[in-house]
Amino acid sequence: MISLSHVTFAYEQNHAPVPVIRNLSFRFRPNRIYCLFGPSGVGKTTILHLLSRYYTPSRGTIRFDKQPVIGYVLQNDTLLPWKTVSENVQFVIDHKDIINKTDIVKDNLTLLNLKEKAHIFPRQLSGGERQKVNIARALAVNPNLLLLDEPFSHLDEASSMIIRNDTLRMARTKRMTVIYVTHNPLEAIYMADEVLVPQGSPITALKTIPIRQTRKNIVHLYDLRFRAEKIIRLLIQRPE
Amino acid sequence: MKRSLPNLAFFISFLVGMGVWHIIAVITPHHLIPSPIRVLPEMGSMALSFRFIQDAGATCVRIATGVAASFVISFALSLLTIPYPLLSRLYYPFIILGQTIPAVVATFIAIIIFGTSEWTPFLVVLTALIPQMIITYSHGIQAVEQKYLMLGTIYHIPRRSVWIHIYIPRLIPFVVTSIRNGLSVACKIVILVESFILSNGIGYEIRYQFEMFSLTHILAWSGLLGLILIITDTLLSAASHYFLTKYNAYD
Repeated sequence: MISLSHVTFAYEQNHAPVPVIRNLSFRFRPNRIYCLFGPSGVGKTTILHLLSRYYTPSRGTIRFDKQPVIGYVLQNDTLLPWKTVSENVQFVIDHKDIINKTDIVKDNLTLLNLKEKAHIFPRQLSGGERQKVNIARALAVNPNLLLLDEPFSHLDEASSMIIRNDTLRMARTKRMTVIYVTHNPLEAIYMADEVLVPQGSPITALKTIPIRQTRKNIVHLYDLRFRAEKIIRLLIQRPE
Repeated sequence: MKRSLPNLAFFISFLVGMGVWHIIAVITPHHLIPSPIRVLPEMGSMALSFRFIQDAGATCVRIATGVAASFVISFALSLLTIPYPLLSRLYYPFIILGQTIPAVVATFIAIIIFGTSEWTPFLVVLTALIPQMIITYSHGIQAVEQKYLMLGTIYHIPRRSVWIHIYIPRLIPFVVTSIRNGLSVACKIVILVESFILSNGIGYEIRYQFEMFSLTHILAWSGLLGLILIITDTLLSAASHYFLTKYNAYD
């Protein structure tokens, strides 16, 4: 369980505080996938930065039931261009007192079908593959809290679909709490157990949106579209 | 075909340069300027002589030690500004001072203090290069992307690892560029100091030939120096290209 209790946070801009979050309280339950959904610039990334402890709240507290091991996939590609794929993954665990670091790297790359790319540099990868390496690196620390900040926003639909499914599979297998930021409603509904919408500006609450019915409706819509496409294809092939 | 084009352009430019030089030599009254036909064979025989190896070696060692020491000092001083940003404010007046003092003034001061010892060219090179290099490395440090540094905080990576794996690799293109510039500046300074006070080196030889009124030899020594610089710069340019491709962000 992660509890945000009366958290307030403000950026410093031109020596003046710009409040982003004010008196926010919320509880994230373990082993669930949460999606923070909302327009750009509302403060979703700030929430992730606070949870990752990159930012410290100006006021209030963030409590973790057990010591969090955090994996974080940032919005921008953060692979070090001068390191190979495997070195990039190993970089985050190199300082840790664990054995078999090489095996951990290998396992995570294998999970995301990147084993063959282990010894090449990020510039030689496609955008989708790079993002997979970012995810593999976040998973290498064996996190119990995985933070994902719009990880698929730069990818084409086919690639992001594959990585979404890989991430979901991984989250379920490794029993992680996943907090995921997106402004794509379909993605939010597809990925999340709970969709959270930040309320107010600065954010004062996170509203939970019921998504079970919505997901059913969307599946139905997709089914209809699929049938319609089939009919159209038949019509096109129909000889005059 | 495409690969040989730059070589062809270089060769043509060399031939055109030689042609222009020859024409100037022919039309100058009293043949004051020797033609390349006289200078090039002289350069050839000099290049094969032991004297050239001795003098060029002495000049190259002075340049290399000056640049290497400047690099080590300025790199260390610049890295210290990462944990202690206030230091950059402390360096600032010295950087401005170092950048504005002409090399010739620094040379005179060094000659008065150190006389004709090897310390003189060394210290003049340090005075000229350290401020330049610190500025370059400071820009490099500022150019390290925040997104990479975030990794250090989020994954609790020790500061030493962040320096070794993020800061230093990111600074390598800046290091290569500063060394390339530093070598050309150091070369000019060392030649100047050698011509003033030292008793060996290419600068000394040029001054000696000047005293002998031998323009052929002055041009031959200058040509050989130019040749050394072209070879060094070609090697550094290749290194620079490699490091810029490897260590710069791909996006």
